[in-house]
Amino acid sequence: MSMAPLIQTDVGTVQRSSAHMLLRDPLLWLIIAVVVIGALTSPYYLTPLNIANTLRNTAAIGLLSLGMTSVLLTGRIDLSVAATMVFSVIVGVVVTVEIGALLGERWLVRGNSFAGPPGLVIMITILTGITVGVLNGIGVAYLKVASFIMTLVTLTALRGLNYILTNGHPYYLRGSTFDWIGDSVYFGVPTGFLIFISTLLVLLFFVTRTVAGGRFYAIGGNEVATLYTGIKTNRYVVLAFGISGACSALAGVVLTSRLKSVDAPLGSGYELTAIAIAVIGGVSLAGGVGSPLRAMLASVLFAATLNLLGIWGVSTWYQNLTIGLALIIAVGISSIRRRIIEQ
Amino acid sequence: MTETSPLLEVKNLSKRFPGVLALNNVSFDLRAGEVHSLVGENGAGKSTLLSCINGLQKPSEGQIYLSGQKTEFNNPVDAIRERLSMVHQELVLCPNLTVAENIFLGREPKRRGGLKDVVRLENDARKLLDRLRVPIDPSRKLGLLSLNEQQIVEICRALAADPKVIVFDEPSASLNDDQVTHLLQIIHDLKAQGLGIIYVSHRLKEVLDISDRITVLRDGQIVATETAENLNERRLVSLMVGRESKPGESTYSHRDLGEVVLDAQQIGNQQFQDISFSLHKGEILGIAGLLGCQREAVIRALFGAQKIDSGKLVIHGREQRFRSPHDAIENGVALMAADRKQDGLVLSMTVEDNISLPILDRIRSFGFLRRRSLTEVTREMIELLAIKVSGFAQKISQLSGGNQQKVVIGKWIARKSDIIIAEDPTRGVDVGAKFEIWRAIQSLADEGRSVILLTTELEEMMMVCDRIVVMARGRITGSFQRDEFSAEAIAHRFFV
Repeated sequence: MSMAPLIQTDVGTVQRSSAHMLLRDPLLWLIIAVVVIGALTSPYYLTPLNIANTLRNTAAIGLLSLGMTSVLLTGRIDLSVAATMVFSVIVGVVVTVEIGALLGERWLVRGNSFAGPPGLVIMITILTGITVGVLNGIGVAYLKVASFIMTLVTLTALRGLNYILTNGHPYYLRGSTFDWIGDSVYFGVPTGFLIFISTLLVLLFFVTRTVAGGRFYAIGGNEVATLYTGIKTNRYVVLAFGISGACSALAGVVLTSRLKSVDAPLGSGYELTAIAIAVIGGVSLAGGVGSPLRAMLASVLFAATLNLLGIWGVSTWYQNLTIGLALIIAVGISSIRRRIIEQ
Repeated sequence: MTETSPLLEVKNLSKRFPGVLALNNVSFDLRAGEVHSLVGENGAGKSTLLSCINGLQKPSEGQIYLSGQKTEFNNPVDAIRERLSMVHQELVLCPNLTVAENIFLGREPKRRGGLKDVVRLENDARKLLDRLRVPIDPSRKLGLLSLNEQQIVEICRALAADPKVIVFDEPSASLNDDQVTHLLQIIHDLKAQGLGIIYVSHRLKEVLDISDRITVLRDGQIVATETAENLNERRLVSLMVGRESKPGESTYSHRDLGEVVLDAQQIGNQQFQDISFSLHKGEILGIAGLLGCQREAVIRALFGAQKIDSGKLVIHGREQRFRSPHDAIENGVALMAADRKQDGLVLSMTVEDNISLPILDRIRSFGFLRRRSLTEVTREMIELLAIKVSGFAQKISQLSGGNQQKVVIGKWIARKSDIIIAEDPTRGVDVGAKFEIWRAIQSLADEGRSVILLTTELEEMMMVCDRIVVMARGRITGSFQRDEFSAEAIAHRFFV
């Protein structure tokens, strides 16, 4: 028997099984169930406008949960994602305005409206997000601060900084780029959601196809074992937090472009939603298990459900209650499943 | 000494820890195509020697030569690079990754741009697995494999670095007989392929089977290096144990035993089977055994921290099924865990606080602590156990190891537990304090409490126990009354 056909069948099984697994994924069926229920109970649920809205709402929270997933895979947690999201955009605006002042331009006009170049804002926003993430990572990996503490401190500090930098007033964002990201729709799909999907594809490629991404799983699975093979685990932990920071910043761009403003208290509590989505998507809080793809499905499920509750006229308070319950159930199920697998 | 220089040579190696000489002038060598085993009791210095060879610890004195070349490893990664791999006793693997990913972790074949080469990864892994003649699918998740298969993956990982020397550190501890046979077959093949193998195991029969030479360590020194043909089990045991030790030293005083307080009737779970023994009032019962004999699991089951699947546990004449340590404590069973810092004490709290932790519910009225009773209990314990403290409010972390251990003992006396399970109570304390801890345990028995004792050193156990039960591989293999105590006879039961 020659080796070549053997290899081919192998690859074939892998591909078939992953497509197969997607079809068998309960998340997909849950999404379909929610959509069907929505369509049956409300004439508005399947209108293009509502679909676009749901996808838009998915984008920001989905990006946060992607970042969360990369950190959770290494067995850490990042509580600062929402604060980083807002902070990055605010820094983006403030620094751009300062740059404008240096150039003799007034980019902050009447009524706290920003009228400078959006491209510069977005670039600085993303750099800021990465920096915050890397600093978190350094604290966790090299200074050995528990990630829970480290990122909780970051969360608190950034929330404070957000108020200092904005003086407590929102910045309003004007510019065609913001409109494009926030409002335009291609074949019914909003730009923000496309940004989310592109990020997902990049992250998915990274964790499943590259050696470096595989290290995230190794570290989350058994950090000591990984360290003993000579892998410099600390670097990968920093990388994971850096990715989380970048995702947070992107989420900030998507969210504020939609709102056309950024405000210090924006997105409070989104970190918990991001954790909830990641966990519902099957990412283990203990590390080493999970896929960004399923985190994406979970975020769609999440947004579709909240949208349906909104259409039904359920108040936000009950929606929050639902988030909490969903998280408890998801964590419960994942820990029971782990125990069953262990036995 | 050009062509015949051994693969690995250790010359005059010593390792000093504060207050202890763990290795004393040890010399050891390994030739290509040879299996050289290391045996010795717990604490004889095997692990220290292996860590020095492997780069996990630095020797205080002495040199290590690889193929005649002097080497110094700063960490295990250096050792792997110099083609010396180690198969660890505990599996150091990632259960969430596939077999192939585990084998090549840190050495993955890459395509351009840092991409994974899954096909090559799995093919390479398959080649290694074939080399060991085991039908394991390289794309399976490691966590789904049996312990035995995981062990084989661990061996493959050692092989993946293309080593010249492989160190096996008790690879068979968790395997059953068939699996051990398979493992030995693998080692035999590796040896035939010209590798040098250091093999460490407590199972003397397999050591005699597989080895070309055997080195016996005792108290950090080499007592013998001989070819396996010149040795047999009996001789090995007597070399390992050394002198016949004298029971009945200083701390032991004869007591009359009372009624049975704890009766284990054929209890078992996944880790141990068919364990039966009874514990009398005022008795100190030792459970002896080597690493992997599962005595730790047995005492945890008695304490309700592990499930008992079969058999009956009768305590004070009533059958009990403990669902948690809380149930056990309610029934007067206490466990002093070996790791007192982690499991036994709250280091940042005071002596008084620690002693009172398990009895808080007894010394409160209407939810408030009765300070006076608290102080009384503390004083009582400090006097009873002769704990040296500067005051009741002294922090536990400021006490010496021996005194910390006494506080742990005091905690459970205060709780009025009458069945006390002590796991290695003298770990990490100096000689003088050891003696006082044995006295304290003796005085527990004098007061009519019963003690189940686990120690690493058999000699210590023989000093204080009324009876010793021996365990091996999750079963009881022997039982000795005090007048029958002999280190050699007991050690023989370790290897059944």
